[in-house]
Amino acid sequence: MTIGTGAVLMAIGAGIAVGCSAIGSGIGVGIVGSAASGVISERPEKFGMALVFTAVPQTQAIYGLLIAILILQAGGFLGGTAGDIPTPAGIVAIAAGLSVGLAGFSAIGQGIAAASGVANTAEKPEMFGRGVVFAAVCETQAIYGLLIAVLMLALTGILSSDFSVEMPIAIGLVGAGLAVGLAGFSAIGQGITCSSGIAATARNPGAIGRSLVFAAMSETFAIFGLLVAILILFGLGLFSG
Amino acid sequence: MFYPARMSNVLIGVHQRWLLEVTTALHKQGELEILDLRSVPVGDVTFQVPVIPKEDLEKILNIQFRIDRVLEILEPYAQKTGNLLTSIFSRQEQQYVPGYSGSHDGLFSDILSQLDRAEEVLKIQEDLKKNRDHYTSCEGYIASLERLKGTGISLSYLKPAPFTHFIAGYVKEEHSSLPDRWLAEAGTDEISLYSEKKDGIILIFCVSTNNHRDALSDLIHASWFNQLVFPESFSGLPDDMQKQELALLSEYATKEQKLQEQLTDYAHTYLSLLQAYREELILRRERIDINRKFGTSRDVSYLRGWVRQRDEEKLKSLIRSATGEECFVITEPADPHDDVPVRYDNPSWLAPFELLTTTFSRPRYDEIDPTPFFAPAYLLFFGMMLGDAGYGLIIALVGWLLYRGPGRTDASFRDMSYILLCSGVADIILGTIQGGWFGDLLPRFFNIQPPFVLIEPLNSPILLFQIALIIGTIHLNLGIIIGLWENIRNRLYSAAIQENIIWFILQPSAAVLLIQFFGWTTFPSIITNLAIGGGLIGLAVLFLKKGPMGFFSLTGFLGDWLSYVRILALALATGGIAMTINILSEMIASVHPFMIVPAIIFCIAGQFFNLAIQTLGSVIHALRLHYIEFFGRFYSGGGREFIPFRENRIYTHVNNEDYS
Repeated sequence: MTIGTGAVLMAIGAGIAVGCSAIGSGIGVGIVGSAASGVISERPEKFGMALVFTAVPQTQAIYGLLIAILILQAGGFLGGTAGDIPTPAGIVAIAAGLSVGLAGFSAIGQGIAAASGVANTAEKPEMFGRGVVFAAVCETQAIYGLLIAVLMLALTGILSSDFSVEMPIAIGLVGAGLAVGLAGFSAIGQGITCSSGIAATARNPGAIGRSLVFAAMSETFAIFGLLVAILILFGLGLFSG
Repeated sequence: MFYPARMSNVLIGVHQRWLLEVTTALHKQGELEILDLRSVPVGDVTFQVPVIPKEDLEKILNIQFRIDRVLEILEPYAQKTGNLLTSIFSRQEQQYVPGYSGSHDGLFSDILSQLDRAEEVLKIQEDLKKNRDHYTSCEGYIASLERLKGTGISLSYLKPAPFTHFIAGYVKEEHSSLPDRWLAEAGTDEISLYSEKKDGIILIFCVSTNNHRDALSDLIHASWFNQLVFPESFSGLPDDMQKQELALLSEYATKEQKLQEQLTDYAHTYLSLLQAYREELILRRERIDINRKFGTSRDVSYLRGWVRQRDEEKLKSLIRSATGEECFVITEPADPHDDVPVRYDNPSWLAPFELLTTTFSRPRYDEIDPTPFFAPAYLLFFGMMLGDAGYGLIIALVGWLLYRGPGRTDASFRDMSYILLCSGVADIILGTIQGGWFGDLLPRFFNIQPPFVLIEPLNSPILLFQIALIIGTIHLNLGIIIGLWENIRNRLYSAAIQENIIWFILQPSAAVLLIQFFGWTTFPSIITNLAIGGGLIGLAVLFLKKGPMGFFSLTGFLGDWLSYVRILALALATGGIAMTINILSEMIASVHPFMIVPAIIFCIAGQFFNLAIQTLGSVIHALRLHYIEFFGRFYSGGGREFIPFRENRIYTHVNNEDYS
């Protein structure tokens, strides 16, 4: 059995997807885990609450794993039948990996927000719901990354193991992946805002609406990335069927 | 049900001799929130604070303190049945004790007659503590004697003697050179050392004249020496002494068991009773404390508060019957500008979802209650995001068990378990439509094609993407319509145009222009021109109203709309990860027939992990779509909770005739 360049590139794409998003989630979980450890040293009964916040930034790694599995399954890796896949299909997989993998760094922002959620909920249990919502705000960037990755794989036919995508389209999709993936870093800024938003809401529950407006402003730049990615997909003719 | 319950402000005046009856009746009825008359005066009238029966209050506090001491000891000995799982899911059966309706003095007398006997547990607890101390010391001596076993050294040597001082102890093996060093440092032949290697330690016996006792102590305590100390009563060989101590240890263990059995018996007899008495005392204290909020003139006591309009007549009837008509009750509808407390007004099947609204913020009195819109959309989003009927079955089962168990006695547990049950049912329905049964478990391992499948996220992501955006459009526009309704109801017509109607112009205009731009279809030029005109008007209004921030309103709306694609993302994640677990399980099982069992264990553990993590994600993101995207269109909240003066009975119950 010959392993084509495309298959190798698909493997790299899967690696980027799960590797980058795992770095993001690892750092995010680390940040919130550190705050959680501090809280439970003083208030051991808060372990369950702290565990929920700690779990929040790990969804990015799950999205990365999902795209990696979809790529590996489409490429026949899971059945041991990865073969002579054309190079353009491999490049699309790399683009999808960049999209979801880089956007996975949004977990850092989520970790910053969730750490504030842990600290404030330890003092005021009624802050739990609001803390989780603020932390969830920063996941939008990861969802955009996942969305574009799925659209790339579905619209090029790779998801159904159709590898007939052309080279110019495949290279163009790397641009889309970079657009939405790098824009996902805006979640770090958003996480900082959300962290302060949680503190503000803990002091004044009525501040939740305006704090969310401030938090949403950082998301604007992620929307720019998403729009550019969608325009690239459109420009490459993927929406025309 | 779309607005909080309508409230009335109440002013009650009763003759002072009826005050206790009125307070008790109001406490039991629990429909009136009582305000502090000092903070909410009636015109220019200045009231006196009623006299508080301080003696009763002090007695209550004193007895409650004594009961708390006994309960602190007895509560760990409460009868517990079953394991951790059954204790979570089973209802904690409480032994209900009828509420005591007599006078304070009668109640105190009853409690004290029981409490005097129950306080015998304090002595038992003291004995138990002493016994445990003895047991711990005994264990220590046995361990020390173990080190000296077989040395043939009599323990009598360790006792104080007129001329000599004898010390036994040990150091770790790595410090075996210490004895020689000590001898060298001592610089006298009146200190003698003997060392012996045993089980990884060096046993050391030191003897000196009493003149050098301090010098010897300084020498050995400055180093790594562990001294073996025994009571003076110890004598004979360590082997024999250890046997005696072992027998003593067994006696202490037997005594511990006996004392614990006694405490269990006391718990069986007194725990429920004392819990009930404590509850009754707390209620009595609340009834005394509430007096601080009343006002009084020479003969009349005044109360002010809030009551639900529909409970007005019940309240009036209660006051009249408690006072023999020697009262007046004046009510007037609440003015929304006042600090009116908010009481939800939803039917019982919807009420548990108020918990989710409150998590964001309680509605203001004059604001719409979003719960009726929230509940169905929350269930739809949760079901679509989790999208697995197998997981839904487990969630529904857990919700049902919690609802039947602790949910029966705990209100917040009841609400949460009800929401969990409904979420599970929603997930069963929507998971069936999406074909998820623990991912692709059924077709992969059992070759069964799930029935009633309409859309599979992994096979039709684009279709689900489109459905998510359509749902987002409907949900956002529902929020805009509610906001429009609220603005019109409050006669804020300008805001209605600038914040709501504007989006009904901008959205179709943008849709026409975008569809034309992407070339999906072409429109007649009049429609295109209308769309351009509408778009320009919309933008003009938006920027006039908000200035440069209007730009963020546009991007914000776009972001809110695109945010609904998280429905697709989470549905894909659930199905994809479940499928991955199934694939990996299949790979493990294919290695060797013996690997089938590990594969099954891996599959079950993996599915439970996926269930936990994806359920958490689905809850969070279903809430987020409401709190940020939906509520952002019309809802701010910030209402004050209605807190009625109400008995909270857990361990006691009362019959109506108790108060008649």
